[in-house]
Amino acid sequence: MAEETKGFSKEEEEWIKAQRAREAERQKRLSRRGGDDKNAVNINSLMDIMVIMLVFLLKSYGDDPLKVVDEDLKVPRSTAQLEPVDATVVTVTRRAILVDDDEAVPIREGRVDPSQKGSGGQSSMRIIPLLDRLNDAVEQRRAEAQLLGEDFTPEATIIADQMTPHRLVLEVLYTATEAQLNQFRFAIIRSTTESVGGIAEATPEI
Amino acid sequence: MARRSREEIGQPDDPDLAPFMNLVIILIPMLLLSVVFLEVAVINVTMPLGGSTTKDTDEPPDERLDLSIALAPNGFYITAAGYQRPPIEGCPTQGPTICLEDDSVDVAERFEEARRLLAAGQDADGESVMEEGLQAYNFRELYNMLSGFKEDFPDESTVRLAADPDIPFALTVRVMDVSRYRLTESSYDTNEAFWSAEFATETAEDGEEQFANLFGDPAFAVVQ
Repeated sequence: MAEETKGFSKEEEEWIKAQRAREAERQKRLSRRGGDDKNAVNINSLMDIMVIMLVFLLKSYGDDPLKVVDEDLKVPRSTAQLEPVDATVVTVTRRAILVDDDEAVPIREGRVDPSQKGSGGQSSMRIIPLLDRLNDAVEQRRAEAQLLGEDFTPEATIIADQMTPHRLVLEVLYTATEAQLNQFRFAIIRSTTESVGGIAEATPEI
Repeated sequence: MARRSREEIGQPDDPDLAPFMNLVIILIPMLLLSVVFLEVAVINVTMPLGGSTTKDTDEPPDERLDLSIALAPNGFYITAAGYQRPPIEGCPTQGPTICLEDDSVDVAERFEEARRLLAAGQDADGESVMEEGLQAYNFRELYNMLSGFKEDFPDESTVRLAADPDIPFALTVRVMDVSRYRLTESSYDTNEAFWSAEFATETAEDGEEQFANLFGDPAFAVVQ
């Protein structure tokens, strides 16, 4: 040891000793963790894969504006080709009608309770709580469009369960027209003609 | 002098990625579960108030098609060019224009049963029963008739849809599917040939190839 440090000043000698002590301490620490640098698992590649997957999944999550399958909702299959657009969303499940994911009115046995309708009770086409929610949603969209300097398009996307009675679909459409919405789109699950006609099973089970 | 180590100049060793890894490992299964691998599309529809879906025109009524299809549990009632079309060959004389293909199926009962099963949480059974009801309708003859109308009224594209109150939305969508595009043939004799037929194409004004429109503008009407 004395030979190794021959020719160094006392300060340098002290520094070299401190370095060696630190290195010894580091090696000890590594061995306590279960190995040295050579034996450690390199997780960089795994991290890259994880981050790519995360970005892809987050993007696909953000790209899908419409939820068409849920516990009490499954929209019909269709051969329609048009892409969905951003609009006020009215969802008609088997249990409730929702406007932009907020429940507006409950449904029982495919009908809205007559007390929730306009004058005329069961025969009325106007669903009052839905109309109120739609008016709010339309006002909000109109204000957003104004802030962004864009033209407001009074359109709505209707996501309706495949067993929704025709009468209820009409009531929703009618109420929406009363809230100044006049362009409608029905959301569907895109499928092939063969699958729709029942001569091929092309749609995955959900 | 030797290079000073990171430790010496006060920098940490490698960043500890374990918390981030934990977060990523939790997020990935959560997002995978929420992703639904289904393609969503939309159908454009209109809902004019008052029930009128015809364009403002000077044409006399008998020169307009004014097509309307009413969906009922016993078939399709079709009104065109001002009068309800009589039942096609093979259908009861007092019944709808196009009766059920399989008249042994009680469609209303099938739909009711499907709703009951779905409400009880038996989704697969409910959908199967609903499909039985839908398959009883004669969509092939509906297409054949609409195709004939299109030849006589090539510029018309609007079809007004009406239905009994309890007709499920799935049937309305299927009728819209059948009336949306022309197929390669104007008439089909078998269901297999009909459902496996390709859409006919035409050249649009901008030169692009697109599917040929049959009656692709459905309208829902409510007469108050």
